[in-house]
Amino acid sequence: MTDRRLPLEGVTIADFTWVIAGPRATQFLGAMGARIIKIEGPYRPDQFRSSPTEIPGADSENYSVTFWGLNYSKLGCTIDFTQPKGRELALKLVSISDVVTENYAYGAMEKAGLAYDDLRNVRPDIIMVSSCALGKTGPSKGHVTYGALQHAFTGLNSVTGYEGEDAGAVGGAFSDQTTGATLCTAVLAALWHRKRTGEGQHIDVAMAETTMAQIPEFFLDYTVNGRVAGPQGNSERGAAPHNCFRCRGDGWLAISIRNQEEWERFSAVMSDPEWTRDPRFADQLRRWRNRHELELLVEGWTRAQDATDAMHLLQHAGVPAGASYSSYDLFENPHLSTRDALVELEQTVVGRKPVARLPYLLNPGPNGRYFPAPLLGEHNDLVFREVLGLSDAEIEELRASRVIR
Amino acid sequence: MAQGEDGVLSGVRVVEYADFVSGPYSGRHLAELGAEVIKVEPPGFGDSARRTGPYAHDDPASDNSLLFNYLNVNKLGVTLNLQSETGREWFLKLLEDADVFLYGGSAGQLDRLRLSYREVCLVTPRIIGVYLTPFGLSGPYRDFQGGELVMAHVGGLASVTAGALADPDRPPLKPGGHQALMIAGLYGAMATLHALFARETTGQGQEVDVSEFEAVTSFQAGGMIRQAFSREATTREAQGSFLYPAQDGTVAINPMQDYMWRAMAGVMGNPEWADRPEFSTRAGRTANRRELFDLVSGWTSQFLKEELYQRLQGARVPAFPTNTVADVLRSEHLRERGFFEEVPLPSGEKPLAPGRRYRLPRGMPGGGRAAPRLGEHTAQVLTERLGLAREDLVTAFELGVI
Repeated sequence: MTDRRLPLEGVTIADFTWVIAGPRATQFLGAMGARIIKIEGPYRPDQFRSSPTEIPGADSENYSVTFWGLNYSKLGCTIDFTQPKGRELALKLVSISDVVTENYAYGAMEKAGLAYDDLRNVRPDIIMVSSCALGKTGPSKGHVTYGALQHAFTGLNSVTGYEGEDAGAVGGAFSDQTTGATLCTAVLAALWHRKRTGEGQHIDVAMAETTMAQIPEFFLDYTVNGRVAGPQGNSERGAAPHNCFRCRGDGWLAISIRNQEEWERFSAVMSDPEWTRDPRFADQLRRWRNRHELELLVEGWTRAQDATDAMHLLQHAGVPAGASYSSYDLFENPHLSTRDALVELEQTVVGRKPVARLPYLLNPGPNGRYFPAPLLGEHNDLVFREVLGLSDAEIEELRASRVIR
Repeated sequence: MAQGEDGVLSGVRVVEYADFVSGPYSGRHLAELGAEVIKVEPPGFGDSARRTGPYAHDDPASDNSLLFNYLNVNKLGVTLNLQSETGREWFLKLLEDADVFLYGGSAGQLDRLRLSYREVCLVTPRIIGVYLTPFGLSGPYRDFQGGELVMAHVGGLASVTAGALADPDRPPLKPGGHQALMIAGLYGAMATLHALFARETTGQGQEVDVSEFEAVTSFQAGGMIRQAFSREATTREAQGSFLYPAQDGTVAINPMQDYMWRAMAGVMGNPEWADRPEFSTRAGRTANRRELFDLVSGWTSQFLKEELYQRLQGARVPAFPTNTVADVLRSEHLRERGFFEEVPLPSGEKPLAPGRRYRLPRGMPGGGRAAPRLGEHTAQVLTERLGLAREDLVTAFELGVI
């Protein structure tokens, strides 16, 4: 019979991360079975507990929607590790942990006496994974950021936008998310290394670097060809029509024709209007050269279509097409629902609400373990009493001195 | 990785049959960690990334694609025609020694190739099958066609991307490059490690179903979950709201917390308007963001972007200039960190490019071998691994099997 244990069972992670990138990584590791103990300042909790979207009527620390979505499968405790007694408590937790994760701005852990060397003193084979804006070495290591600012700094925005115009902006939490996936992968790699060799290590991740790693071809175009590429819009050389087209109502539809076969199928779906036989559009190279005229004609067709219906129509004919969706549209997307991309969890304050599971499926699995994000300090007792073996008196004293709450 | 040095995944054998960006990017990660990655390509054209620019010295040839050469460093390259019975037989033999089969392509092609997990498992019982497909191996969109443009739009990335002048009447935009496919590739590497740990626990391999669509939509997870609390449409226009004009470009500034806003007011010389009560809280600044943007722009537009960057960071206000890739390459900070690494090209050149996303001080030696020219290691791998005779190879070449 197959062993149904989760792959990271037995791994403990002391998690000092907050906001997006770090919490994203540790919730993935929690879903894989690691015991994640999230540590927050009792009077300075994760910034995202109170922002950006608050649940109407909920206590401001418990919760924001964003926090709920980024902190599943974790235990939560509070420690003010800037106080000497708090530091001692944090180190006690480190001593029973396999991994420490943190994504404070450079200096926070160091000032608190929780740098890698301090951790290694209490746990020689500890794996520490850090992430800040520009990393922990180099002249600008102290610079502070939110993820989206890295889209500007790294050149990602410079290659985004309408063709021939100034740089646009990739929004959302793109850089945080790529960093989150990177941190999770780094922890897995370091755990594998430790399993083979017994060695721990410190991994110093910079959000800027993980974001730059997303656009290597633009860097090489510069270092090899001396070209500083600008925004290319929705276009891809040699492909036409290849854009996002206005549909009926508010909808938009991306259509990507990359070869003759796709073009013929596309023409057939449109019932082969006269203009599709125009010699200017006779082959892929001609369509590319005359793409602006071509795309205007295509839009004449899409404007009469519903974006989602047209996506289905085209895809069933073997034409790459996708409605341009937002999170609003994706929330009830039938494909994602069929694959249970969102998992519903039950929690006291929030009630029964979804989170996004690991972004892939394992078959036969197990596919992961999901339980709701912790309230602030929810597992203090469990962590301090059962895991660390503190007495009631010790816990009371810590509470009185505001080290815990 | 450098020959002979020990990497985290030394001893792990990966056979990759993955086209373009997502699957090959997963393979690059595994190779960085020391796994042996044998990349199998169809003879003739090979991987379609070979025909995707930019090309070294703008010379379009299948060994010159900079994208391909970045994604496939440290792999062995073999050509095999999997549509021929012999090609398939040899491919399955390669899988016999493999820990991981990494597939990247459409679900329909996978059906035609008869390389589903059930099928490869018959050959190699403990193998891990990692399948990167546009929409996954199940669900109503399973057989939909993908590609970067489709993924960036249908997966929601375009809904949070804006042009320099945001205009709801102009088309939504994909971000530059191959963001959707790179994300899927990153998750593919993470999922492979996950499955390797699982195999340690259970003794068994399994199918890993990585949907590019899901990988992209997971970046919108926060937005999707918010819909469960209050249904609310998002707008593209808000995305550029961190970008303030400087004399020579733009600067991204986000004083999200109140203490950051106060620090920023200090850097601006505490103008009267900065004291207005509606700007003193985050909620107030968000509600009045258009007015605030105009006021702050009046200040930022007097300075150069580097000046703004240094002054604001000096007060610990999150701010960064908008750079081109050329600007970033000049960053002393990143150079000192050794982030940019040489990418060995088949031509022998070693241009700088973004290095590894994360660097393990132990178990990730770096450096290594150029991406394979089309079929570069076919003879070597097939003779050494499968024990084929030279004569078999000659015939197979002439028949288009390799």
